[in-house]
Amino acid sequence: MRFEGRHQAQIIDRCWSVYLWLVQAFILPESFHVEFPAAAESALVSDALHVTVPMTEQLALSLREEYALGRQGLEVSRYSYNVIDRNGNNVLRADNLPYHKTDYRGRTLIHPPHHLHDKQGRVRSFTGQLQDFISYAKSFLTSP
Amino acid sequence: MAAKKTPKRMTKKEFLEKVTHGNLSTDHAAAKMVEELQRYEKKYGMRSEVFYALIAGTPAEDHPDFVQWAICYRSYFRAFQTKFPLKDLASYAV
Repeated sequence: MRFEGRHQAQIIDRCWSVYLWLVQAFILPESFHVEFPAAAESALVSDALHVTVPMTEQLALSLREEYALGRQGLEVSRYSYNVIDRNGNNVLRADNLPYHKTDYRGRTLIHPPHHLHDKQGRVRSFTGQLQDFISYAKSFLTSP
Repeated sequence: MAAKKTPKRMTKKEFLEKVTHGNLSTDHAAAKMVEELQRYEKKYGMRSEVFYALIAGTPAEDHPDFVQWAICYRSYFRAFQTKFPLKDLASYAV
C-alpha cells in the first residue's frame, strides 16, 4: 500500500462517506464514478477533497473539505460547499469561516461558525453537515 | 423504449482498490492545484502568496472564491510536503 496510518485511513473513510451521500442523493454520470477515486487519492496527499458534481444541466455542486487530525479523529477543519450555475456563479454556499455570529434576522447562529449563504446571499444557520447541505441543494432543485 | 441506463456505483472494495492502487502521482495532484491557483491569480490579478498574506484569515476571505483559493493554497503546500518531507530536506540545511 502506498499510504499508511490512521490519518490516511480516516480520510479514505470520509471520502467514501461523501461518495455514498452523493450517489444516494443524485443520479450521477459515469464520469463521476470514474473520477472520484482520483479525487480521494489527491485528498491523501493534500488533506483536502475537492469534487464537482453535476446536479442538472444548469447547476453543479462544488464541494471542498480540508481535513485535520483532531482529538476525536479526523475533523473537517475548513469546508466550502457550493451550488454553482453553468457560468460558475455561486447560488448557494455553506462554510465555517468564523466571521458570522448571527443570521440575517439578527438571531444567533445555532451551530456557529457553520452557516449558509442562501440564494439571496442572506446568512442562515447551518449544521455543518455535508449530508444536510446535499439535502438542501436537492430541495433547492425542486423549489421555484 | 430502451430503459435509461443508470451508471453503476462503486462498491467499497472497488473504491479502496482504486484509491490504494496509487495511479495518481503527487506531481499530478500538485499540478492540478497549480492550475487552479493560476486561474484565481489571473481572475483577481494577484499572486497566491499575496492573496494568502493579505486576505486569508481576515473577514475579506468571506467570498466564495477566496474560501476555495485559501484551501487550495494550503492543499498545494501539503501535497508538496508529501513529496519533499521536511525531515528529508533537513539534510540540506547548512
